[in-house]
Amino acid sequence: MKKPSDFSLQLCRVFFYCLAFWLGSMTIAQGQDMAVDSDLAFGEERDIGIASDPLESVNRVFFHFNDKLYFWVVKPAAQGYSYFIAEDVRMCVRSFFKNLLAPVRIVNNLLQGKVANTGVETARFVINSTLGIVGLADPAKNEFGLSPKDEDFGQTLGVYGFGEGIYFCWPVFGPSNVRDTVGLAGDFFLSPVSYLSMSDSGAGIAVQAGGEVNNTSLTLGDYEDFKESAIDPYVALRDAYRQYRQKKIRDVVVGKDSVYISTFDGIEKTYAQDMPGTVFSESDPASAPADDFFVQAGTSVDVEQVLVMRQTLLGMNKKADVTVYARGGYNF
Amino acid sequence: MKDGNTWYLKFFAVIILTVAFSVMHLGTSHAAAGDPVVVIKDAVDEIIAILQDEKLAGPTRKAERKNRVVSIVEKKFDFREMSMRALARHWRERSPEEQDRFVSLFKKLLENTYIAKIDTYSGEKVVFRKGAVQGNKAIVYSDLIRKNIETPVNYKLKNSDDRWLVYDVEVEGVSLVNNYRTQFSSILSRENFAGLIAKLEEKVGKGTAE
Repeated sequence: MKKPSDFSLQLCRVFFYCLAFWLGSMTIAQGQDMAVDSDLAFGEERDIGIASDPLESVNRVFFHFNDKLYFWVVKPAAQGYSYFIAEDVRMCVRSFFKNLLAPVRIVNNLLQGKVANTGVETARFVINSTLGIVGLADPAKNEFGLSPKDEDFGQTLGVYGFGEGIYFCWPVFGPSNVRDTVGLAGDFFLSPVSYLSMSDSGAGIAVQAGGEVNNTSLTLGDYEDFKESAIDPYVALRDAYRQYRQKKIRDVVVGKDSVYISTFDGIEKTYAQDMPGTVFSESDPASAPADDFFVQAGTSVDVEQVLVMRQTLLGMNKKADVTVYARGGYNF
Repeated sequence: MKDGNTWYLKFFAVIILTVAFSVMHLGTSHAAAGDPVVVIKDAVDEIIAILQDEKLAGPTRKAERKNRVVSIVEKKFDFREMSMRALARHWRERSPEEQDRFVSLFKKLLENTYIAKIDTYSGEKVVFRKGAVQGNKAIVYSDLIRKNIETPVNYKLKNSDDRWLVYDVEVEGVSLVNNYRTQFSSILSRENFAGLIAKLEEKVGKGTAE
């Protein structure tokens, strides 16, 4: 009979191998995926080029289909729905659906090695499912300051070095590409709604459609504005989708996501958000209008910590792509 | 399937508000090459002042509101820089007259589609995260909070003649200028420059007719 300590040792070893393998693959993936360019925040925006879109003629047909689907079906449904249901209620429903998809975010944060974010998403799920009454409210963010960390399997594949492949515009689902379509299929198994669809496909589709109508009711007019602003809406949407997904994969959108400093060696470090630090603005916060709709920002980050981190990375003398996206002062 | 599927619907609506908010600056400020965050923040204050002004409220004063906003925007946005970036390599191939024509049309397009929609404002919040300066470039990070959803908005500014001017806005990581660049280059790969100008004229003409 094996002693328990042997077993745990064995377990640790297996875990360690997995970790090593994963770190290794991540390094390779990042090395291949990221081109050497200077500080992305200031340098010229990397031209992501023209999309690979050999199916453009088919995609345009589906784009047109989705356009009509929006104007003839989704929009009238959302308008009717929002006539009867108060906005606050609809926001709760949206929050509920978002909470339902927490497994997607938890698993994909873990797969990408974002351990801290995995913890944050798990905590969010627990807090919002209980205190937030099955996810109808978001006390995790409002009371505990835990912002969602959006990750999906498409992003995970991107982190591991999968290219986007050709562009698709799926009917109903909208813009995508090979990688994100595979990602969507992967995430399907992490969505509770999918399991409902498996046992009762009618109910599953109804819930899915209901969620979409609910969310659309909160963003009515956005699609109209998008079309109005574009000269070629098909190309505009394709480009916006690609830009958005590439930024998501590289975690360079500052805001909801946590701050990452990444190098070719795959070193990643998170900083807690909203850490006390220097206030960057010269303006006197007291002079800001005390309106309900303008929030004076006093935000910042521990600039010193960022500088130390940067020094460390530079000191390692790695030809690394050091990009600091932190909420902090501007003295780096 | 995922809530990410409708993000783009949000994107363009948010950009409408942010483009307008970002640039309001009545010239009262001396912010001359000061802190770019202050430049943007002052701008937001100015637009909110216009939107709150009861004397300017009501549908009859709509044109005046728009004109005031536009006149401010002109001081804060570098439309020439934006046009250059949006046309990229095609810019250099154009004559100065063609360039000027393009700048005025592109400016009009942005005005019509974005700034004119300022009236859709309904209690959005703006939170500034930080500013960063490197050389003559600056970036200001902010979040626009709309119905409990935060949307990251980054303003890119360039210092020219001791003034900070916005040359690009990124919403959810999507660059406005790059989005137009892709559209322009797609059109120019199929048509000549006159064709693009015609398309812009048609778009702009439709907007003003509204």
